[in-house]
Amino acid sequence: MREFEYYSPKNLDEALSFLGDKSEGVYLIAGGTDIMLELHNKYIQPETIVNLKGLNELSYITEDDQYIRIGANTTFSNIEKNEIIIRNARALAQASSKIGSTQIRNLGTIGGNIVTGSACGDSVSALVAMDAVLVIKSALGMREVSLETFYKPNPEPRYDGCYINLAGIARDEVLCEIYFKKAEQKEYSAFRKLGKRKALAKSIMTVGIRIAFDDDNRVRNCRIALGAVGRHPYSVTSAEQIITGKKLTEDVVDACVNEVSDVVYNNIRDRASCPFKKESVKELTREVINSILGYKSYKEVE
Amino acid sequence: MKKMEISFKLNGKNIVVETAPNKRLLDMLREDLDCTSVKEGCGEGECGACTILINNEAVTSCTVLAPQVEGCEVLTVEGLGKDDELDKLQETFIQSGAVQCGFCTPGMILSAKALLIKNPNPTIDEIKTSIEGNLCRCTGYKKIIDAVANAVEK
Repeated sequence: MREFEYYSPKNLDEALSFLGDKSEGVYLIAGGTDIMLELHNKYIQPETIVNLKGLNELSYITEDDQYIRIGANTTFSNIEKNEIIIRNARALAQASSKIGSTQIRNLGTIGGNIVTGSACGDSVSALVAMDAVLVIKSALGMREVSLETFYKPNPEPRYDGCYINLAGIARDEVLCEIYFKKAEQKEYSAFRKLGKRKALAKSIMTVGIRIAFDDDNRVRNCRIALGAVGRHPYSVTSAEQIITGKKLTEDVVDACVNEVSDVVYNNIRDRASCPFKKESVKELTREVINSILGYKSYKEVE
Repeated sequence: MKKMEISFKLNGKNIVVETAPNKRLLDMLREDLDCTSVKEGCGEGECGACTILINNEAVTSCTVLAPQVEGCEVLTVEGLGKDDELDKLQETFIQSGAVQCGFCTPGMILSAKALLIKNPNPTIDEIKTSIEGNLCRCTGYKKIIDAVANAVEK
Protein backbone atom coordinates (compact mmCIF):
# COMPACT_ATOMS: atom_id res chain seq x y z
CA MET A 1 0.00 0.00 0.00
CA ARG A 2 1.36 3.42 -0.95
CA GLU A 3 1.48 6.23 1.57
CA PHE A 4 -1.53 8.50 1.92
CA GLU A 5 -3.10 11.00 4.27
CA TYR A 6 -5.93 9.59 6.36
CA TYR A 7 -8.89 11.68 7.40
CA SER A 8 -11.80 10.45 9.48
CA PRO A 9 -14.55 13.10 9.63
CA LYS A 10 -16.82 13.20 12.68
CA ASN A 11 -19.98 13.81 10.71
CA LEU A 12 -21.28 14.06 7.17
CA ASP A 13 -21.00 17.85 7.02
CA GLU A 14 -17.30 17.64 7.83
CA ALA A 15 -16.85 15.01 5.12
CA LEU A 16 -18.72 17.05 2.50
CA SER A 17 -16.86 20.27 3.28
CA PHE A 18 -13.53 18.41 3.14
CA LEU A 19 -14.47 17.04 -0.29
CA GLY A 20 -15.66 20.49 -1.34
CA ASP A 21 -12.15 21.85 -0.71
CA LYS A 22 -10.19 18.91 -2.09
CA SER A 23 -11.48 16.02 -4.09
CA GLU A 24 -8.67 15.23 -6.57
CA GLY A 25 -6.73 12.20 -5.45
CA VAL A 26 -9.22 11.52 -2.67
CA TYR A 27 -10.84 8.13 -2.26
CA LEU A 28 -13.64 7.30 0.16
CA ILE A 29 -13.64 4.15 2.27
CA ALA A 30 -16.67 2.69 4.04
CA GLY A 31 -16.88 -1.10 4.40
CA GLY A 32 -13.57 -1.45 2.56
CA THR A 33 -14.25 -4.87 1.07
CA ASP A 34 -13.43 -3.69 -2.47
CA ILE A 35 -11.12 -0.72 -2.00
CA MET A 36 -8.83 -2.49 0.49
CA LEU A 37 -7.79 -4.96 -2.22
CA GLU A 38 -7.20 -2.13 -4.69
CA LEU A 39 -5.08 -0.29 -2.13
CA HIS A 40 -3.14 -3.35 -1.06
CA ASN A 41 -2.38 -4.37 -4.64
CA LYS A 42 -1.55 -0.75 -5.54
CA TYR A 43 -4.18 -0.58 -8.28
CA ILE A 44 -5.08 2.82 -6.91
CA GLN A 45 -2.72 5.29 -5.28
CA PRO A 46 -4.74 7.91 -3.46
CA GLU A 47 -3.25 11.02 -1.89
CA THR A 48 -5.93 10.98 0.77
CA ILE A 49 -8.34 8.42 2.14
CA VAL A 50 -11.51 9.73 3.77
CA ASN A 51 -13.10 7.25 6.16
CA LEU A 52 -16.90 7.16 6.10
CA LYS A 53 -17.23 4.04 8.23
CA GLY A 54 -17.57 6.02 11.45
CA LEU A 55 -20.52 8.06 10.19
CA ASN A 56 -23.34 6.42 12.11
CA GLU A 57 -25.76 9.05 10.85
CA LEU A 58 -25.63 7.23 7.49
CA SER A 59 -26.50 3.86 9.00
CA TYR A 60 -30.26 3.42 9.36
CA ILE A 61 -33.35 1.74 7.96
CA THR A 62 -36.59 3.69 8.41
CA GLU A 63 -40.11 3.61 7.06
CA ASP A 64 -42.74 6.34 6.82
CA ASP A 65 -46.16 6.33 5.16
CA GLN A 66 -44.73 6.06 1.68
CA TYR A 67 -41.06 5.15 1.61
CA ILE A 68 -38.39 2.86 2.99
CA ARG A 69 -35.11 4.73 3.50
CA ILE A 70 -31.73 3.05 3.91
CA GLY A 71 -28.60 4.97 4.93
CA ALA A 72 -25.71 4.30 2.56
CA ASN A 73 -23.52 3.07 5.42
CA THR A 74 -25.93 0.30 6.40
CA THR A 75 -24.24 -3.10 6.22
CA PHE A 76 -25.73 -6.09 4.45
CA SER A 77 -25.92 -7.97 7.77
CA ASN A 78 -28.27 -5.29 9.04
CA ILE A 79 -30.32 -5.25 5.84
CA GLU A 80 -30.78 -9.02 5.45
CA LYS A 81 -32.25 -9.39 8.95
CA ASN A 82 -34.24 -6.15 9.07
CA GLU A 83 -37.95 -6.66 9.57
CA ILE A 84 -38.95 -3.57 7.55
CA ILE A 85 -36.91 -4.81 4.57
CA ILE A 86 -38.17 -8.39 4.82
CA ARG A 87 -41.78 -7.12 4.89
CA ASN A 88 -41.45 -4.56 2.07
CA ALA A 89 -38.56 -5.65 -0.10
CA ARG A 90 -38.03 -9.37 0.20
CA ALA A 91 -35.88 -9.29 -2.95
CA LEU A 92 -33.40 -6.96 -1.25
CA ALA A 93 -33.28 -9.05 1.93
CA GLN A 94 -32.63 -12.16 -0.17
CA ALA A 95 -29.95 -10.43 -2.25
CA SER A 96 -28.23 -9.08 0.87
CA SER A 97 -28.12 -12.52 2.46
CA LYS A 98 -26.33 -13.95 -0.60
CA ILE A 99 -23.48 -11.46 -0.64
CA GLY A 100 -19.98 -12.76 0.12
CA SER A 101 -19.80 -14.34 3.56
CA THR A 102 -20.84 -13.42 7.08
CA GLN A 103 -17.60 -11.46 7.48
CA ILE A 104 -18.11 -9.56 4.22
CA ARG A 105 -21.74 -8.77 5.02
CA ASN A 106 -20.66 -7.42 8.42
CA LEU A 107 -18.39 -4.94 6.64
CA GLY A 108 -19.85 -4.27 3.20
CA THR A 109 -22.32 -1.41 2.84
CA ILE A 110 -25.19 -0.94 0.43
CA GLY A 111 -23.83 2.44 -0.66
CA GLY A 112 -20.47 0.87 -1.47
CA ASN A 113 -22.07 -1.87 -3.54
CA ILE A 114 -23.77 0.80 -5.67
CA VAL A 115 -20.94 3.30 -6.18
CA THR A 116 -18.31 0.61 -6.81
CA GLY A 117 -20.22 0.15 -10.05
CA SER A 118 -19.46 -3.50 -10.61
CA ALA A 119 -21.49 -5.22 -13.31
CA CYS A 120 -22.25 -7.93 -10.80
CA GLY A 121 -23.02 -5.96 -7.63
CA ASP A 122 -25.41 -8.33 -5.90
CA SER A 123 -27.78 -5.86 -4.27
CA VAL A 124 -28.11 -3.61 -7.28
CA SER A 125 -30.49 -5.71 -9.40
CA ALA A 126 -32.74 -6.15 -6.35
CA LEU A 127 -32.72 -2.39 -5.83
CA VAL A 128 -33.47 -1.74 -9.52
CA ALA A 129 -36.49 -4.04 -9.10
CA MET A 130 -37.63 -1.80 -6.24
CA ASP A 131 -37.25 1.35 -8.43
CA ALA A 132 -34.75 2.69 -5.90
CA VAL A 133 -33.73 6.34 -5.87
CA LEU A 134 -30.33 7.58 -4.68
CA VAL A 135 -29.82 10.69 -2.55
CA ILE A 136 -26.42 12.18 -3.34
CA LYS A 137 -24.96 15.11 -1.41
CA SER A 138 -22.03 17.47 -1.81
CA ALA A 139 -20.94 20.71 -0.16
CA LEU A 140 -22.98 22.51 -2.82
CA GLY A 141 -26.27 20.74 -2.16
CA MET A 142 -28.08 17.52 -2.86
CA ARG A 143 -29.63 15.74 -5.82
CA GLU A 144 -31.67 12.62 -6.41
CA VAL A 145 -31.21 10.16 -9.25
CA SER A 146 -32.94 6.89 -10.04
CA LEU A 147 -30.62 3.92 -9.61
CA GLU A 148 -31.31 2.67 -13.12
CA THR A 149 -30.04 5.87 -14.74
CA PHE A 150 -27.14 6.22 -12.29
CA TYR A 151 -24.60 4.14 -14.22
CA LYS A 152 -22.91 5.66 -17.23
CA PRO A 153 -22.55 3.59 -20.37
CA ASN A 154 -18.84 4.40 -20.80
CA PRO A 155 -17.04 1.75 -18.80
CA GLU A 156 -13.30 1.34 -18.41
CA PRO A 157 -11.83 -2.16 -18.39
CA ARG A 158 -10.66 -3.10 -14.97
CA TYR A 159 -7.77 -5.22 -13.78
CA ASP A 160 -9.90 -8.28 -13.08
CA GLY A 161 -11.67 -8.25 -16.42
CA CYS A 162 -14.83 -6.75 -14.93
CA TYR A 163 -15.87 -3.30 -16.06
CA ILE A 164 -15.87 -0.37 -13.73
CA ASN A 165 -18.90 1.60 -14.67
CA LEU A 166 -17.82 5.00 -13.56
CA ALA A 167 -20.90 5.26 -11.47
CA GLY A 168 -22.57 8.60 -12.10
CA ILE A 169 -21.14 10.31 -9.06
CA ALA A 170 -18.71 13.22 -8.93
CA ARG A 171 -15.51 13.21 -6.85
CA ASP A 172 -16.89 15.68 -4.33
CA GLU A 173 -20.18 13.84 -3.85
CA VAL A 174 -21.23 11.22 -1.30
CA LEU A 175 -24.07 8.74 -1.77
CA CYS A 176 -26.07 9.20 1.45
CA GLU A 177 -29.36 7.37 1.12
CA ILE A 178 -31.24 4.87 -0.98
CA TYR A 179 -35.03 4.98 -0.84
CA PHE A 180 -37.93 3.25 -2.53
CA LYS A 181 -41.70 2.94 -2.19
CA LYS A 182 -43.19 0.67 0.44
CA ALA A 183 -44.88 -2.47 -0.81
CA GLU A 184 -48.59 -1.98 -1.44
CA GLN A 185 -51.31 -4.55 -0.93
CA LYS A 186 -50.63 -7.61 -3.07
CA GLU A 187 -47.16 -6.43 -4.05
CA TYR A 188 -44.32 -8.94 -3.67
CA SER A 189 -40.72 -9.33 -4.74
CA ALA A 190 -38.07 -12.02 -4.93
CA PHE A 191 -34.44 -12.44 -5.95
CA ARG A 192 -32.22 -15.29 -7.12
CA LYS A 193 -28.51 -15.44 -7.71
CA LEU A 194 -26.68 -17.92 -9.87
CA GLY A 195 -23.17 -18.56 -8.56
CA LYS A 196 -20.64 -21.35 -8.62
CA ARG A 197 -21.04 -22.14 -4.92
CA LYS A 198 -23.20 -21.26 -1.95
CA ALA A 199 -20.93 -18.83 -0.11
CA LEU A 200 -18.47 -16.26 -1.40
CA ALA A 201 -19.69 -16.69 -4.95
CA LYS A 202 -19.31 -13.95 -7.48
CA SER A 203 -22.66 -13.79 -9.21
CA ILE A 204 -22.84 -15.28 -12.67
CA MET A 205 -26.28 -13.79 -12.97
CA THR A 206 -28.88 -12.21 -10.68
CA VAL A 207 -32.59 -11.66 -11.18
CA GLY A 208 -34.75 -9.39 -9.03
CA ILE A 209 -38.47 -9.06 -9.72
CA ARG A 210 -41.23 -7.05 -8.08
CA ILE A 211 -44.87 -7.65 -9.04
CA ALA A 212 -48.01 -5.86 -7.84
CA PHE A 213 -51.24 -7.77 -8.46
CA ASP A 214 -54.78 -6.42 -8.75
CA ASP A 215 -57.78 -7.98 -6.97
CA ASP A 216 -58.32 -10.24 -9.95
CA ASN A 217 -54.71 -11.54 -9.63
CA ARG A 218 -53.64 -9.84 -12.84
CA VAL A 219 -50.26 -8.09 -12.87
CA ARG A 220 -50.95 -4.42 -12.10
CA ASN A 221 -47.34 -3.37 -12.53
CA CYS A 222 -43.95 -4.98 -12.27
CA ARG A 223 -40.20 -4.56 -12.60
CA ILE A 224 -37.88 -7.28 -13.89
CA ALA A 225 -34.21 -6.47 -13.19
CA LEU A 226 -31.12 -8.40 -14.22
CA GLY A 227 -27.53 -8.25 -12.96
CA ALA A 228 -24.23 -9.48 -14.43
CA VAL A 229 -25.67 -9.78 -17.95
CA GLY A 230 -24.53 -6.39 -19.19
CA ARG A 231 -22.27 -3.61 -18.10
CA HIS A 232 -24.55 -2.77 -15.21
CA PRO A 233 -27.83 -4.06 -13.82
CA TYR A 234 -30.88 -3.03 -15.85
CA SER A 235 -34.59 -3.66 -16.12
CA VAL A 236 -36.29 -5.36 -19.07
CA THR A 237 -39.22 -3.15 -20.07
CA SER A 238 -40.30 -5.29 -23.01
CA ALA A 239 -40.68 -8.37 -20.80
CA GLU A 240 -42.49 -6.34 -18.15
CA GLN A 241 -45.01 -5.26 -20.80
CA ILE A 242 -45.70 -8.90 -21.70
CA ILE A 243 -46.97 -9.78 -18.22
CA THR A 244 -48.58 -6.46 -17.27
CA GLY A 245 -52.38 -6.68 -17.23
CA LYS A 246 -52.33 -10.46 -17.47
CA LYS A 247 -52.65 -13.43 -15.16
CA LEU A 248 -49.39 -15.34 -14.77
CA THR A 249 -50.37 -18.48 -16.64
CA GLU A 250 -47.73 -20.84 -17.97
CA ASP A 251 -48.00 -19.35 -21.48
CA VAL A 252 -47.61 -15.79 -20.24
CA VAL A 253 -44.58 -16.69 -18.14
CA ASP A 254 -43.08 -18.58 -21.11
CA ALA A 255 -43.44 -15.52 -23.33
CA CYS A 256 -41.92 -13.35 -20.62
CA VAL A 257 -38.83 -15.50 -20.01
CA ASN A 258 -38.25 -15.85 -23.76
CA GLU A 259 -38.29 -12.08 -24.14
CA VAL A 260 -35.85 -11.72 -21.19
CA SER A 261 -33.57 -14.21 -22.94
CA ASP A 262 -33.72 -12.27 -26.23
CA VAL A 263 -32.79 -9.04 -24.48
CA VAL A 264 -29.88 -10.72 -22.70
CA TYR A 265 -28.70 -12.20 -26.00
CA ASN A 266 -28.70 -8.77 -27.63
CA ASN A 267 -26.80 -7.21 -24.75
CA ILE A 268 -24.01 -9.77 -24.38
CA ARG A 269 -23.92 -11.52 -27.76
CA ASP A 270 -20.14 -10.94 -28.08
CA ARG A 271 -19.37 -12.60 -24.75
CA ALA A 272 -18.22 -16.20 -24.47
CA SER A 273 -20.75 -16.74 -21.68
CA CYS A 274 -23.69 -15.73 -23.89
CA PRO A 275 -24.88 -19.19 -25.01
CA PHE A 276 -25.02 -20.28 -21.36
CA LYS A 277 -26.51 -17.10 -19.96
CA LYS A 278 -29.24 -16.66 -22.55
CA GLU A 279 -30.60 -20.08 -21.60
CA SER A 280 -30.06 -20.01 -17.86
CA VAL A 281 -31.62 -16.57 -17.49
CA LYS A 282 -34.93 -18.10 -18.63
CA GLU A 283 -35.07 -20.59 -15.81
CA LEU A 284 -33.73 -18.17 -13.21
CA THR A 285 -36.43 -15.66 -14.18
CA ARG A 286 -39.08 -18.38 -14.09
CA GLU A 287 -37.85 -19.45 -10.65
CA VAL A 288 -38.18 -15.90 -9.32
CA ILE A 289 -41.70 -15.51 -10.74
CA ASN A 290 -42.69 -18.87 -9.22
CA SER A 291 -41.19 -17.83 -5.90
CA ILE A 292 -43.33 -14.66 -5.97
CA LEU A 293 -46.44 -16.70 -6.81
CA GLY A 294 -45.67 -19.16 -4.02
CA TYR A 295 -45.07 -16.39 -1.51
CA LYS A 296 -48.24 -14.62 -2.65
CA SER A 297 -50.43 -17.65 -2.05
CA TYR A 298 -48.76 -18.18 1.32
CA LYS A 299 -49.34 -14.56 2.39
CA GLU A 300 -52.89 -14.41 1.11
CA VAL A 301 -53.96 -17.59 2.91
CA GLU A 302 -52.49 -16.23 6.12
CA MET B 1 5.73 7.87 6.54
CA LYS B 2 3.86 9.95 9.02
CA LYS B 3 2.57 7.77 11.84
CA MET B 4 -0.68 8.24 13.65
CA GLU B 5 -2.11 7.21 16.99
CA ILE B 6 -5.03 4.81 17.06
CA SER B 7 -6.83 4.10 20.32
CA PHE B 8 -9.09 1.12 20.67
CA LYS B 9 -9.81 -1.80 22.94
CA LEU B 10 -7.82 -4.92 22.10
CA ASN B 11 -8.78 -8.10 23.92
CA GLY B 12 -10.35 -6.17 26.78
CA LYS B 13 -7.52 -3.66 27.27
CA ASN B 14 -7.61 -0.03 26.16
CA ILE B 15 -4.54 0.58 24.06
CA VAL B 16 -3.00 3.35 22.01
CA VAL B 17 -0.82 2.26 19.13
CA GLU B 18 1.36 4.40 16.91
CA THR B 19 1.27 3.07 13.40
CA ALA B 20 1.16 4.06 9.74
CA PRO B 21 -2.35 4.68 8.40
CA ASN B 22 -1.62 2.74 5.21
CA LYS B 23 -1.75 -0.62 6.94
CA ARG B 24 -4.33 -3.31 6.91
CA LEU B 25 -5.75 -4.13 10.34
CA LEU B 26 -4.33 -7.62 9.79
CA ASP B 27 -0.78 -6.24 9.49
CA MET B 28 -1.14 -3.88 12.45
CA LEU B 29 -2.34 -6.71 14.68
CA ARG B 30 0.48 -9.02 13.64
CA GLU B 31 3.39 -6.60 13.27
CA ASP B 32 2.70 -3.91 15.85
CA LEU B 33 0.70 -5.82 18.45
CA ASP B 34 2.08 -9.36 18.22
CA CYS B 35 -1.34 -10.90 17.72
CA THR B 36 0.00 -13.64 15.51
CA SER B 37 -3.09 -15.80 15.91
CA VAL B 38 -4.47 -13.63 13.10
CA LYS B 39 -3.37 -15.38 9.89
CA GLU B 40 -3.09 -14.10 6.37
CA GLY B 41 -4.45 -16.58 3.87
CA CYS B 42 -5.76 -15.11 0.65
CA GLY B 43 -5.57 -11.43 1.59
CA GLU B 44 -8.79 -10.86 -0.37
CA GLY B 45 -11.52 -11.44 2.20
CA GLU B 46 -12.30 -14.89 0.85
CA CYS B 47 -10.65 -17.45 3.13
CA GLY B 48 -11.46 -16.08 6.58
CA ALA B 49 -8.08 -17.00 8.14
CA CYS B 50 -7.69 -13.39 9.30
CA THR B 51 -11.14 -13.24 10.92
CA ILE B 52 -11.34 -11.18 14.10
CA LEU B 53 -14.25 -9.66 16.00
CA ILE B 54 -14.92 -5.93 15.87
CA ASN B 55 -17.65 -4.96 18.34
CA ASN B 56 -18.58 -8.67 18.51
CA GLU B 57 -19.03 -9.01 14.73
CA ALA B 58 -16.80 -11.31 12.69
CA VAL B 59 -14.91 -9.46 9.97
CA THR B 60 -11.93 -10.22 7.74
CA SER B 61 -9.10 -8.03 9.05
CA CYS B 62 -7.42 -7.95 5.63
CA THR B 63 -10.27 -5.79 4.30
CA VAL B 64 -10.21 -3.28 7.17
CA LEU B 65 -7.89 -0.28 7.18
CA ALA B 66 -6.02 -0.15 10.53
CA PRO B 67 -7.20 3.35 11.63
CA GLN B 68 -10.83 2.34 11.03
CA VAL B 69 -10.86 0.51 14.39
CA GLU B 70 -10.45 3.79 16.30
CA GLY B 71 -12.78 3.55 19.31
CA CYS B 72 -13.81 -0.06 18.56
CA GLU B 73 -13.52 -3.26 20.57
CA VAL B 74 -11.33 -5.84 18.85
CA LEU B 75 -11.10 -9.49 19.89
CA THR B 76 -8.51 -11.99 18.66
CA VAL B 77 -7.84 -15.53 19.89
CA GLU B 78 -5.24 -14.06 22.29
CA GLY B 79 -8.18 -12.51 24.16
CA LEU B 80 -10.20 -15.70 24.51
CA GLY B 81 -10.35 -17.63 27.77
CA LYS B 82 -8.48 -16.68 30.93
CA ASP B 83 -4.83 -16.96 31.95
CA ASP B 84 -4.97 -20.65 32.83
CA GLU B 85 -8.26 -21.61 31.26
CA LEU B 86 -9.20 -22.09 27.63
CA ASP B 87 -12.40 -20.75 26.13
CA LYS B 88 -15.12 -23.37 25.79
CA LEU B 89 -14.76 -23.28 21.99
CA GLN B 90 -11.00 -23.84 22.19
CA GLU B 91 -11.62 -26.88 24.39
CA THR B 92 -14.26 -28.39 22.14
CA PHE B 93 -12.09 -27.80 19.05
CA ILE B 94 -9.36 -29.86 20.73
CA GLN B 95 -11.73 -32.54 21.99
CA SER B 96 -13.49 -32.93 18.63
CA GLY B 97 -10.23 -33.15 16.69
CA ALA B 98 -11.26 -30.06 14.73
CA VAL B 99 -7.67 -28.87 14.38
CA GLN B 100 -5.39 -30.37 11.77
CA CYS B 101 -2.85 -28.00 10.24
CA GLY B 102 -4.35 -25.28 12.42
CA PHE B 103 -4.09 -22.38 10.00
CA CYS B 104 -7.83 -21.79 9.73
CA THR B 105 -8.51 -22.52 13.41
CA PRO B 106 -8.26 -19.00 14.92
CA GLY B 107 -10.64 -17.63 12.28
CA MET B 108 -13.01 -20.57 12.67
CA ILE B 109 -13.12 -20.16 16.44
CA LEU B 110 -13.80 -16.44 16.20
CA SER B 111 -16.55 -16.86 13.60
CA ALA B 112 -18.15 -19.42 15.91
CA LYS B 113 -17.60 -17.11 18.89
CA ALA B 114 -19.47 -14.29 17.12
CA LEU B 115 -22.35 -16.67 16.51
CA LEU B 116 -22.50 -17.87 20.12
CA ILE B 117 -22.36 -14.32 21.49
CA LYS B 118 -25.45 -13.44 19.47
CA ASN B 119 -27.19 -16.77 19.53
CA PRO B 120 -26.26 -19.13 22.39
CA ASN B 121 -28.42 -21.94 20.98
CA PRO B 122 -27.76 -22.10 17.24
CA THR B 123 -29.00 -24.83 14.91
CA ILE B 124 -26.56 -26.82 12.78
CA ASP B 125 -27.56 -24.69 9.77
CA GLU B 126 -26.82 -21.52 11.70
CA ILE B 127 -23.41 -22.94 12.65
CA LYS B 128 -22.72 -23.71 8.99
CA THR B 129 -23.72 -20.19 7.94
CA SER B 130 -21.52 -18.64 10.63
CA ILE B 131 -18.42 -20.33 9.20
CA GLU B 132 -19.38 -19.94 5.53
CA GLY B 133 -16.57 -17.41 5.13
CA ASN B 134 -13.87 -19.65 6.62
CA LEU B 135 -12.09 -22.13 4.40
CA CYS B 136 -10.52 -25.28 5.82
CA ARG B 137 -8.52 -27.50 3.47
CA CYS B 138 -7.88 -30.31 5.98
CA THR B 139 -10.92 -31.36 7.96
CA GLY B 140 -13.84 -31.37 5.57
CA TYR B 141 -15.64 -29.20 8.15
CA LYS B 142 -17.49 -32.04 9.88
CA LYS B 143 -15.34 -31.97 13.01
CA ILE B 144 -15.40 -28.19 13.12
CA ILE B 145 -19.18 -28.13 13.03
CA ASP B 146 -19.22 -30.86 15.71
CA ALA B 147 -16.85 -28.78 17.85
CA VAL B 148 -19.12 -25.73 17.70
CA ALA B 149 -22.18 -27.88 18.40
CA ASN B 150 -20.43 -29.42 21.40
CA ALA B 151 -19.64 -25.97 22.75
CA VAL B 152 -23.37 -25.25 22.65
CA GLU B 153 -24.41 -28.34 24.55
CA LYS B 154 -22.12 -27.65 27.49
